Amino acid sequence: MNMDKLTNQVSDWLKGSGPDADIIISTRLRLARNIRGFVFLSYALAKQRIEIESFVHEKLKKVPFHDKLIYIQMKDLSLIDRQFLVERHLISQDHAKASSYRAVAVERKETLSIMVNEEDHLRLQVILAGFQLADGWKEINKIDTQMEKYIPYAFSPQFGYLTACPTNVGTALRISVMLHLPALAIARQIDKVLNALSRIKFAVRGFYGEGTQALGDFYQISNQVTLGKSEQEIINEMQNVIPEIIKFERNWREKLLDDNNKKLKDSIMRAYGILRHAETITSEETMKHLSLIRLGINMNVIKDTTLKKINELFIYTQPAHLQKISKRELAPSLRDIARAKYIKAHLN
Amino acid sequence: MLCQNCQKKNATVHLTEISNQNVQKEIHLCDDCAHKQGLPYKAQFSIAEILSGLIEPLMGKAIGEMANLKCQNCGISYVDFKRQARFGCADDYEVFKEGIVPLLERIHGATQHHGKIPSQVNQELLHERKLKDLQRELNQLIRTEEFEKAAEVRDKIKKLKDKATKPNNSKRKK
Ligand SMILES: [Zn+2]
Ligand SMILES: [Zn+2]
Repeated sequence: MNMDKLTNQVSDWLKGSGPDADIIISTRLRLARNIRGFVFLSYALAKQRIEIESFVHEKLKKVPFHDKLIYIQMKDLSLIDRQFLVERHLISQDHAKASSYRAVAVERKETLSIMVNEEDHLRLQVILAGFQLADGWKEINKIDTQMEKYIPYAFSPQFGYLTACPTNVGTALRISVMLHLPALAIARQIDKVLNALSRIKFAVRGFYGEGTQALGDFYQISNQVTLGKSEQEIINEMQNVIPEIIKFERNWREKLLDDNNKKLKDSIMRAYGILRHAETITSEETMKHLSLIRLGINMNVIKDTTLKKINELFIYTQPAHLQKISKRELAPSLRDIARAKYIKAHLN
Repeated sequence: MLCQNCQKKNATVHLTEISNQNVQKEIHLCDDCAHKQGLPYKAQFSIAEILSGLIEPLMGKAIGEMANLKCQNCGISYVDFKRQARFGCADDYEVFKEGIVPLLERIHGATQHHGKIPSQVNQELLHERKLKDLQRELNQLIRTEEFEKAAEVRDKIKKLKDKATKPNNSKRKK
């Protein structure tokens, strides 16, 4: 029921719009919150987890935005449905794996999600298309302020919002900006960016965070320091860093076109050809080609498809999405066939 | 530790598969294997690994008293915290404060929150708490004869007290 509604719609943040959408897929902000009076989750017994979950569930029925939420208990979901939510970036891998009294509240447009009983009692997340730090903060701050009227947060004047892990304490704000950097990857300039980022205490991860490989040339850049700076200061730092990377990527896109016009065009068009004609294809190969096609659209090499369509394909060709669309479980080899068919139908 | 891939060379690259800051799975590879797998960026150490590394030296120094510390609320000891790199409840931040302050200093380069304050937190109480904390810090500094730092803290206290006498500025805004 609820899940079908999600399957059939496209997340707002995937629509390929928003500032700097040619490079920035999404801006995601996350706040970790714990509830005063309850023990933290890694040491909570089943009974306490149940109490926390039902406490939050009740409170979420009262918040001003309650009628926009779809509340889902993890135990009611199949493994595929859980993985589907991970692929949508609505819950974490960890949240999908453990079933013990966890839940997620998803706002209808999928802009907001609230994980219940993840590492912290509450994990609020707002995800917007493109580069939208100010709007993202405005949104999540509003939600958080509305929630704190109903839920007493664990807070200390010295340490701020108290979290299960000391790496999140303070503002408990983690900002992740997802960038598509194919030109820097082709030009082998990525390491330069990553080294610079690590020096200023920014972390970098792949498309779904979990992988060590940057599939599809996607990089998630996030702040690591959460204590000692205000939210605005954290946002400002991000606001200073990301445009530099955008500029770097754009410069290399131009340079690559000038330098070896035919060669780059050729690999883009070959990728397009493969996806439009393959009979069976893995998720990994798909990501690789989609990345080039995305670059092709942004460089005006490909004109007969849209950014929105390609953004969607990145998500809809993931294993759980394919199985939801096919309405049945599929072994990997069958998935590869279903994937090729789905892509063909959407690119021709 | 041997490389997970070739089982021959020493593992020098230690990666953690992470999602939403949650530690999931550790991967240990030698330089060659890491290079072969085309790892695109510098290895990321697991949070637990970093934390035990950070806590270790502190443990050595304070092991006598700190090791026996136990939170009355959730029941975890300082040793449990060190092992899991996770707190058991909000009280732990106070109970293990002595060990945690230097830890936070190393992770964040700071030990004082400067961000949002929930509206439910009583502003006056908050102010009092801050003053008390500073007063304690000042006493400590005087005891250890760190007068330069003590002067800084005394300035902070003065500023806070001045602030309190003026109306309508309890909320911090930047
Ligand atoms: Zn090896
Ligand atoms: Zn405790």
